[in-house]
Amino acid sequence: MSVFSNLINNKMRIVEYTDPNHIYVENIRSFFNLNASVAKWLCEVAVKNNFLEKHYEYRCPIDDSVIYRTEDLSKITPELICQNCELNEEDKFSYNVEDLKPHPFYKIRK
Amino acid sequence: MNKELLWRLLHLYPFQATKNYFGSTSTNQTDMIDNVVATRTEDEIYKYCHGHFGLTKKHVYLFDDKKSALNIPATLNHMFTETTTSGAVTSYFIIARAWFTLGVITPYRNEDFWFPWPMKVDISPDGIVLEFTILERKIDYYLPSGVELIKTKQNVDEDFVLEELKLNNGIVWTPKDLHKGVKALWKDDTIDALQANYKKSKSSSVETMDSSFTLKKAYPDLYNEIVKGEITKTNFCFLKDKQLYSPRFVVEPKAGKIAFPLFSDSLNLNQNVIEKILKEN
Repeated sequence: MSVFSNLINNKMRIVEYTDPNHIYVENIRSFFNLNASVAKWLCEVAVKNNFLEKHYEYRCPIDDSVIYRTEDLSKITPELICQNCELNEEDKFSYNVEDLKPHPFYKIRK
Repeated sequence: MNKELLWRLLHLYPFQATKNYFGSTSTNQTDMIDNVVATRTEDEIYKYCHGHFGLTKKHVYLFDDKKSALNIPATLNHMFTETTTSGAVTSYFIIARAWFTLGVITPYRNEDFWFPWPMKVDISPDGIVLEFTILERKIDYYLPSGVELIKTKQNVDEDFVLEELKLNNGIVWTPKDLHKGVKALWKDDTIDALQANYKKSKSSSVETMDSSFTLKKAYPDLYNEIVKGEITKTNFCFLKDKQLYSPRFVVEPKAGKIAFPLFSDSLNLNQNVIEKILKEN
C-alpha cells in the first residue's frame, strides 16, 4: 500500500509542478517512466490527435533563459535579443535566429 | 580635442538623437558622425553632449556623503567641464579622458588609447550622485583595419575616478543603501524583476525569468522569500507609468548602484527612476 501511495504521490507531484502551457518531453517521460524517444513519440501522437499543440522556444546560450516562443517557425524575427544579457552588459546578447536551435514544448489544446 | 576623440565622444550618444539635433540626413551612424565632426565646432559638440547626457548608457552611484562644492582633480585629464545649479543641487558635468593600454599585433606592441568620458556629479543636502557613461566595450571597433587587439587594460576607470575625487575632496564614499526604496516599489508592483540575485542564509542564488515573465507575478512565494533578505544585483522592469521611466534597469542596493545599460528614449527617464527609488528610500 505504501509503495502504491508513494507512486501516486510522485505522480501528483509531477502533475503539480507541470505547467499545462509548457509541457516538455521530459515531463511526459518522467510521469510515465518512459525512455526519451518513446516520450517524444507520445507527444507527437498527442499533437496529431489534437490533445496537444506543439510550440517552439529559443534559449539564450549564456543563461539558458527562454528569449522567444512561437508556434510557427516560419514567422519569426531574424534577430533575437536576450534582455537580461543586454542588461548584464554581456559582450554578446543578440543572436541570428538561424544560429540558435528551436526547442519544442507542448500546450494542452483547449 | 582632435577629430578622432570627438568622433568617439559622439559615438557614445544615440544615433537618432544626434542626427536630429544636428539636422543630419545621413542614414548610418558612421557617416552622420563624420559629417558632424567635420562641420561643427568643439563647443557645439560639447553643448550637445552636456544637454543630452541623460540619453547615454550609465552606471550611477549614490552616496550619503555631503559636500557643498567639488574640486575636479586634474588627473581626470578633462577637456570640458560645466557647473550648473538648480535649487539645492549643484551639477558638475565633466568630459574626462579614459586611458586604455592596448596590446595589439602585428608585431606585438602596447599602444595608449584615449576615450572621451562624459560623467556628472550632483551634490546636494541629500548626498552625492555620480553618473558615468558606460564606455564602448569593443575597443577594437575604433582601431584601423589590419590591427588586431589582443589585450585591453583600462587605467582610468570608475574606481580611479572615485579614488581621485576622494583624495581631492576628502570624501569617504558611503554607498547609499537602496534596499528600502527598491523593496517598496517591488511590493506595490511598480516594478518587478527579470533576473534576481539574492542571498540565502548559506548560499547565493540567481533566478532568471524567461522573456515575458516577471518574478513576483510568476513566483509570489519566491518573491516573499527574496524580500526577507539582502538583494544583490537584480534586473528590474517598470510595470506602472512606463512612459515616465527607463523601461529596464539594474540595481545593486547595498552598493548604492543603479545601471542603465540601454540608451534612453528621452532625457529624464533615468533621472525619474533614481528619484522614484530615493522617494521610497
